[in-house]
Amino acid sequence: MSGDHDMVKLISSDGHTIEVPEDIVRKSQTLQNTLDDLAKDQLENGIPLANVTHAILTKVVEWCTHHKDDPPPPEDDDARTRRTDDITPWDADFCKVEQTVLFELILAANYLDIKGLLDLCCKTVANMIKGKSPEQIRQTFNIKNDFTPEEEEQVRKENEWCEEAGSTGK
Amino acid sequence: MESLPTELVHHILVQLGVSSPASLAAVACTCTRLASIARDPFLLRRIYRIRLAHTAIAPIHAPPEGGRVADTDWRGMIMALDSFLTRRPVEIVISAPSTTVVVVLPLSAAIADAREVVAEALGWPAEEMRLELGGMVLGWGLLHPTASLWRAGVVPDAVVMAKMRLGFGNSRDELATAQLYSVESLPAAMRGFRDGMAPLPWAADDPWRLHMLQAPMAALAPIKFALNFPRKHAVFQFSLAMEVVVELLAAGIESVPWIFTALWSVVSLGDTTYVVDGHGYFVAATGTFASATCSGLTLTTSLG
Repeated sequence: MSGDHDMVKLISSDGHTIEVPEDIVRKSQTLQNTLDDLAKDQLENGIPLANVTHAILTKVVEWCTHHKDDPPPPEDDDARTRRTDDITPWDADFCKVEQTVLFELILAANYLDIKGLLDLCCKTVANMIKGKSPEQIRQTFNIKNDFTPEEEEQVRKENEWCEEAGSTGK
Repeated sequence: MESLPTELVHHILVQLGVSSPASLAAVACTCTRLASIARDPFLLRRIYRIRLAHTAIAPIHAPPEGGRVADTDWRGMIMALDSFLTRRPVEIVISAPSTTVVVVLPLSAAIADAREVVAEALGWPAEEMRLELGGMVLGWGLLHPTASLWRAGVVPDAVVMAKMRLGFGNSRDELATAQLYSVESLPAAMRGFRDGMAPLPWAADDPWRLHMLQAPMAALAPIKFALNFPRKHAVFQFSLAMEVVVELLAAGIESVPWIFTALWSVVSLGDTTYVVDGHGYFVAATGTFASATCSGLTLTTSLG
C-alpha cells in the first residue's frame, strides 16, 4: 500500500475490488478487527468479503463515507431509547432502494458489524411495518400465510387488542 | 423478511416493538415463523429492557407453551406497561363480559392507591373496600433479566408483575394452589429446587400447573393464611418478592430458567371478597403491576 497508506482494498463476493480510505473501513467493526489483526503486508492483496456483493459494498461504503465523522454508537444498545422517526433525510434517501437491496444491506451491515447502518436499515423496515394490518404486512413483504385456520384464529385472538388499538387510533 | 435470519428479524422487531407494540402484534399474525419470533421472550425482554433504562420497568415474557394462552391479555399488558412507562398513574381497561382491571402503581403507594384505582374503575366506594395485595406465587418467570438489572445497578424495590384473574374456576383447588406459594416458604423452595424435588402429584392433570411446579417453587409448603381466608389473610409486601429474587441471586441461582413472581391479591367490598388469582405469566417489574381479569366470582360463595 505504498503511497496510499490510508487506502484499504476490499474484495466483494463477486470479485470486484474497491479501494476505500482506512478511516472509512474502520466504521466496520469486523474490518477494524481485521485491520488490527493483520500485518500491512497481509493486506496488500485486499480483504475478501465473501458475503457482500459489489453493489451492496458500494452502498455500504457510501453510507460509511457520509457518516465517517459520526460519533461511535453507544456500547449498551439496550440502555437507550429506540425511535424509528429519527432518520435523517439523507439516510431516508439512502434507504429508498428495492426491498431485496434493503435486506442485503441489513445482512451486510450485520456481517460487517456496522451498527449505525444496521439500525438504520432495521428502522426502515420497521417503518414499513408500522401501522399495517397483518395482511398488509404479508403483501408488503411477500409473506406466505402458513397458519392453519385454527392457528390463525388463535394468534388473532391473542393479538386482537392490536386491531382494536389500531382502529381507535391508539 | 423471510430471507433474514432470526437474529436480524429480532433486531427489526425490537425497533418496531418499542415504538409500536401494536405493530409487533400485527407481525405476529402474519405467519408461523414471525409469530414464533414475536413471542420470543428474549425479544420481549430486549424491547422492554430498552424502556427499562428510562422508566425502570422490567421485561416481560409471553406465556409458555402449555400455558393458558387463551387467557393472554396482551392488550392489558401493553396498556399497563404503557401506563407505567408514561407515568400515568393508572390505566383501567374494562371489557365485557369480563372486566379487566389494570393497576400500575409505584410500590410505595401500592395498596392505598390500588384501592382508589379499583374503586374508580369498578365504581366501588373506596372507603368500604379492602384491597390488599400480597402473597406471592412463584412459578413462571424470567430471572435472567432481573439479574441483569441487578448487576446493572438498577435496584427495583419490588419484583411484581402479574396477570391475575379475579375469581376462581374451582375455588378450593385454586386456593390450594395459592397455599403452595408463599414468601414464608421460599427458602425451603429454593432448597427444594436445588435438590431437584419433583412436582406435586395433584399438578399432573394440569399442564399449566405442572409447568409452574417444575419451577423452583415446587417445594413450597402450604401457607397459613389460607385458613383464615378471606378475612384475615396475611399481607405480604411486594418488597418481599424482590427480596426473594435477591436471595436467589445471592445463592447463585440466577441460572434458574423461570421464576414467576405474581401477586396474591384480595379485593373486598362489604361481605363480598374477590380474590385475584395468581395465574399469571409476567415477570419482574420495578413497580407494582397488577392486571386483574375479573369474573366477579366471590370467594365466599365459592368456598360454600
